[in-house]
Amino acid sequence: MKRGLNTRIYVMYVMALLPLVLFGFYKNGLRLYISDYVDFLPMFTPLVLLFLALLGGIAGAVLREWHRDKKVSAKTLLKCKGDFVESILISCILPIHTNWIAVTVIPLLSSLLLNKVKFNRIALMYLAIEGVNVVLGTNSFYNPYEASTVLNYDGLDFFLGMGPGGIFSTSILFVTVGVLFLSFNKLYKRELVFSSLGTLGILAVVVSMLKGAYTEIFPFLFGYNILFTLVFIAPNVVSSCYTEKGQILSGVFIGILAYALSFVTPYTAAILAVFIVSLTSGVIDRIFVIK
Amino acid sequence: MQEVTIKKDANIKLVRELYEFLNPKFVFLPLRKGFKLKVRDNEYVYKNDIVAMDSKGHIVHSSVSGRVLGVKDMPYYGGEMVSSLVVENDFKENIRVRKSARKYINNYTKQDLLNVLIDASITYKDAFMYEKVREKAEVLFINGVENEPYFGNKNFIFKDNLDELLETIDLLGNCMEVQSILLVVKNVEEELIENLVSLLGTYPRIKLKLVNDAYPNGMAEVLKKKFKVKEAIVFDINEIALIYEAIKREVPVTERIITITGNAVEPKAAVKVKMGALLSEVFVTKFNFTEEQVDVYLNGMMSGTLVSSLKVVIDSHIEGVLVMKRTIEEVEPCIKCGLCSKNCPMGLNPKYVYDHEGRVKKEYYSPCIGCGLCNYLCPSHIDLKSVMKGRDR
Repeated sequence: MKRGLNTRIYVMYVMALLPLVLFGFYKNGLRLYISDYVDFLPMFTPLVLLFLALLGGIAGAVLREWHRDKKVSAKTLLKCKGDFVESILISCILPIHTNWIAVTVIPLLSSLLLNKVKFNRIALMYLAIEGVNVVLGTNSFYNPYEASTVLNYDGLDFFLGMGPGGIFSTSILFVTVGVLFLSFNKLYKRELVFSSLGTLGILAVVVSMLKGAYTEIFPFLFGYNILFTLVFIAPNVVSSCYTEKGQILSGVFIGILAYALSFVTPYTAAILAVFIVSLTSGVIDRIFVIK
Repeated sequence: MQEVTIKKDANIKLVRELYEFLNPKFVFLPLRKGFKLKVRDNEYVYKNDIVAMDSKGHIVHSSVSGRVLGVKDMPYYGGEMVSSLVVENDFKENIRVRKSARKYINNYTKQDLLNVLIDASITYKDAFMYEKVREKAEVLFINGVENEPYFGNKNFIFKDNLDELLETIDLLGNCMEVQSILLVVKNVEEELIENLVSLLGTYPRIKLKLVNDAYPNGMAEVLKKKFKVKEAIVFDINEIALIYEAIKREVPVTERIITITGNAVEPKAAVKVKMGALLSEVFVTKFNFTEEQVDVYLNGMMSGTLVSSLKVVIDSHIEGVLVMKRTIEEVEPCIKCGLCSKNCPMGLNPKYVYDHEGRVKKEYYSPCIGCGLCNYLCPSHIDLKSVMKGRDR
C-alpha cells in the first residue's frame, strides 16, 4: 500500500511558483533591460534576491539540523524542504529594491531560530525585511520603469501581472493557475484559501458598490500582493488551522482583517492579517476539535 | 465522513482455492479470568469436549482430541499473555457423541436458538452470540464487507455456504423480530452480488446494500453511520457462519478461515485453521517468505499491528497476516495538514490527541475504532493509531 508523502506538497508549491518566478524575472528584469531601464547585470536582480533568500534559508536550516544531529548528510537537505519553499515565497513578495543583506540574514535567522514556532514564519520574515527596507528607504514596490512613469492600470494589466507589487507575485493569471494546480493536492488548505478570498471579495465588491467606486475592486482583490499572499502564504502547512471548520473561520478572519488593514497599509495588509490570524490558529482549531 | 480508496498493489491476489491446516501438533485453549478447568493433566479429551467453564456458564471446548499436557502462558492477539490449556493433538479427531446435522433450521424458535447458542457457547471477538440475539433493535445489519485490504476471508465464507447463510440470517431476523435486514457487501464483488440477487427472492426481508470498495467500509460502526441507522444490531458474516454451524450440527465451532498474503510471501491464500493452533506453525507448514527483510502485520496493515513474532494463538481475533517487503518510512514532524481529523470515520481528532498526549479527556480518543486510517493518511508517517490507543509514541 502506498502512503502519501509530505514532500509532495512542497514539490507542488515549487512547481506552482515556477511560472510566477519566470514572469517576475521578465517583468522586473528582462523587460527593463530590453527597454534600456537597467544594464545587463542589474537585469538579474530578481533572481539574485531569490538566490540570496534561498541561500539564507537553507544555510539556517542546515545549521539547525547540524546543531541537532551533529552531522550533515544528503538527508539533512530533505529536512530543509519547508525552509526551501518558505525562502522562495518570501522572495516573491518583496520589493525589487530590497536590501541584499536583509534578504539573506533574516531567512537564515528564521530557519535557524524559529523552526518550532506556531505562527506564520514567512509573514514575520516579511515584516522584518520590510522594517529594514523602511529604515533604509528601499521599500518602494515600483521597478525603475514604474517609478519613471505615471501608472494607469486596468483590470487586464492586473490580470497579466503588469501592475506594481512583489518581485514574483503580480501575475493574477499565474496565481490562479497555481491555486488550481495546488487544489489537486489533499494537503493544500483550499478551504482557508477560498474562504479568505471569498470574504475579501464580498467586502471589496459590496463596499465599492455602496460607494459607487467600482475601480476600487481591482486593487483590493488583485493588487498589493493580496492574492498571492492569500493563495500561497496563508495556507502555510505548519502555522494555519488544520480542522476544516477552523480553516474556514480563519479564512474569514484573514479576509476581514486584510480588507480593513488595506486602508492603513496596503502592501502589508494581507501579510499582517495572515500573521495575526496565525497567532490564533491553535485557539480556532481547539473550538472545532470535537466535530 | 469520507471514504478513502486504498492504493493497493495489483500483484497481491489470493489463489482461488481454500488451503487447510487442520492438524496442529498442539492447541492452546484460553483460560481467561473466572474460567475453571474441567480436566486434569494427562487426561484424554475428545474434540468438542468441555475443558473449562466460568460461573456464567461460558464454555471452552477442545478443538482437537488428544492428551492434556497442562497450563501455560501463551501470547494472543494484542500481545496479551493468557493462561492456556495445552492439548497434544492425536490427529484422530475423536468425538464423544457424534450428532447428526439437522435437516431444516427454519423451525427454530427464539428460545431454541438461544439454548443452542448458550450450549455451544459461541463467541466471536469476545462477544457471546446468545447475548447479541437477546438484544432488541429495528434493523439487523449483516456485515459482509471485508474490511482489511488484501484479505479475502469473507469471500470464502460466502462462496460455499451462500444459501445456508441467507437461511440463518432470515432465521435470526425472525427470532429477533427485527423490521428489516440489511446485508451489506462491496459493489465490486460481481459474482457474489449475482448469486445473492438470484437467491434473495426466497428471503424477501433481506435487502442487499452495496458499498464502495473503500476503507473503512467494513467496520460495523462505519456501516451504521453510513446508513444512518442508530438502533441496529450488526452481525459479521463470520458470526452468521458460526451460528449456522451451531444450529445445523449443534456442535461448537473449532475452525476458522484466515488470510495469509502480501508481496513477500508465497502462496497468497486463505487458509482454514484450527482454533487454538499457533499461527507460526501454520506459517512454517504452508507458507514461505520470499524476501529477507519483511514487515509482518497481524490482521493487516490498516487495523492490525506490526509484529516481530508469529507465535500467537489463533482465536476469533485473528483475521490474517500481511507480509510485506520492508520499507523504511522516516517519521517527520507534523505539518498540520489535517488529513487525520478530516477523514476520521468517528469524527475524532488524532492530531489534537497527539499534541496533548496524556493530557486529553477520554472522550477525545475512546470512541476510536482502531481503523488505522489516520496512520495511512499521515504524510509525515506519525503513528497516530498508537497515540489514539493510548500506547507510547
